[in-house]
Amino acid sequence: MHLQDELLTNLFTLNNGKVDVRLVASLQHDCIGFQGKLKIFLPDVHLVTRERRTQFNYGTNYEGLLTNLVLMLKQFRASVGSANVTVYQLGDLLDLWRQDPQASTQDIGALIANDHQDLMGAVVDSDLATHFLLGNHDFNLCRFPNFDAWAPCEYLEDSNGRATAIALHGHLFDWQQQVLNVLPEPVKDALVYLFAPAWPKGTRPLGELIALNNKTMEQMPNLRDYIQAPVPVALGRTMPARNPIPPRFNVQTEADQLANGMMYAAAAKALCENIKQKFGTNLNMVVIGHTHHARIAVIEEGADAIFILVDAGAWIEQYSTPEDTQPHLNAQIAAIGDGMARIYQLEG
Amino acid sequence: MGNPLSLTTQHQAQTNWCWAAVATSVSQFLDNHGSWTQFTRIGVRFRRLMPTPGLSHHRRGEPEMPRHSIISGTWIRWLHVLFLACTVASSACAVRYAVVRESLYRSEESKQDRIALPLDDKSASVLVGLLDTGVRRDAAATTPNRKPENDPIYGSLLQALRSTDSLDVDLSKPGKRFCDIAVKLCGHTRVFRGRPATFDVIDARERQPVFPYPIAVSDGRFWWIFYHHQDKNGRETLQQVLVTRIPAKKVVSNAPPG
Repeated sequence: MHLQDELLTNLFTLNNGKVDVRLVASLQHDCIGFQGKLKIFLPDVHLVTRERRTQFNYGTNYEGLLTNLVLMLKQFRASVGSANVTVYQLGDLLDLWRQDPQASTQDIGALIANDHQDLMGAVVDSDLATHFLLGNHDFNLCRFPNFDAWAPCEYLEDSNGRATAIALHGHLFDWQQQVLNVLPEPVKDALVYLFAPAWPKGTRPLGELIALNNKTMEQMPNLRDYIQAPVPVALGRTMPARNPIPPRFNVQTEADQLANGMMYAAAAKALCENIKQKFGTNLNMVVIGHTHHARIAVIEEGADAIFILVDAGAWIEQYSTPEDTQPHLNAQIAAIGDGMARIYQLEG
Repeated sequence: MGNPLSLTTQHQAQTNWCWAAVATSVSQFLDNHGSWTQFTRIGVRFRRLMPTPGLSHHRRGEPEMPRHSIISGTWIRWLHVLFLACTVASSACAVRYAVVRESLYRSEESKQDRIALPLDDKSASVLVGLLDTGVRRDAAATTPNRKPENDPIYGSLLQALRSTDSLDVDLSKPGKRFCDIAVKLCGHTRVFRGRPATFDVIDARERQPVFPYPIAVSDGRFWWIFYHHQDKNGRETLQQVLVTRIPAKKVVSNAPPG
């Protein structure tokens, strides 16, 4: 039995076997690689303090299930060999944006973590050795010694020690970042030089800017109701994971896609091409979170040339499927290894 | 060790101006007739970016900061000032964190020896012996035992740490000060009054940061690092304490406030 199936077997044991595991998407392809290895991705969780949680109409989904999942992954990793399984958290584990306005000036991360001791204790367990990536909602954590080992991105090496994929939160592909990226540095400097003095009188002194930024976020009305998805994201049809896993299921392509199914695929491919141009590293896969939209999207250019975007989904906000009109709570993980990429939805 | 520099450190005038305070302190040290202030420094640095209180006179038509002070004659000296300022500011602007020192200067040899809370007679006696010697464990062994509660500085704290009731902490609200978190403990002692708390504790013995992140507070001489735990009812209490000496350059006074 390969590691992908061993993981799936272990997923069925969660919550005393009462968890419903569904396959969101799967893809088997030679380009995926990672034979004999498994890389497991925990996407956005967006924890805030218990007190703060009451001020939003949504929050982290199935926190108890997520805690059990992480505890199970620790055991799973120990049973199959820790060198073979790597766990990644794709950023936005903690949500500093939705926390208090002082969030950027205090080690608020420790306070949020303290309100979720079971989950945080499991996810920072040294035996799990989670690789933490920074998201746009928690990038400020890198200022604090407890979190400063967290990284903005990580290359994933195959069995031969070659980087073939990159994992990052995904906010790099937001339009704001993309606009900035196309401008050369001197142009950006010139824009600041020319237009910054035109800011109206009353512009805040330096020290108040962070607080002002946070206050602005605080006043964003939609943040009370959603972060990324004003309506449940379209996952497409899902299937019980107890059925045989097909080699290709619910894969988004330019020709056949759900709403926003190919979001960020082209930008992610451009990033890989940029990396190849600069460093000669040939990447054909990007793993992200951020959009809260679990999916596998591919750009195919011939029989062998394929680019894969794996969006691991989220543990916040909702999704919908064609088979059920009712929205469901996002609770997804992605697993890549043994030449396969899979995304599962958990419920229970 | 050589003579200390007679550098007077300025307090930062506004949030995030630590680098300006350091730069101004260094420039005053090198040229005590200099007229630089934090406001003029901020103003020159960000003149093209945003108005600051220090630059308001420009808009009123008053003379602008002489440019030659930056770009001509004395530029090498200013480069020197900038270099020194950057060096010092890199530590001054850093997030506050506590460091667990080598075994001679901390209250435990290993984690197994950590002092449990509430204190009992023996641990209170050991702790006061350590505090007497500035947390030097080799010297503490020779300190005769005496009543901890009679200690003029730490007596009230040690007494409070003997009571379970004083060990409750409230981490539900962000607070910069330790006494916002440990209200009951601070009700019995003034040692930590006004002192900021940090959750960032660097302990090189650990493989990674300990979770739950301990609460550290300095009294000016020592870091008191409290390890806490939440029971099933959600009650958060201090469970253990580690006291470690602050490196000499960080000592701001010989006695705690109050």
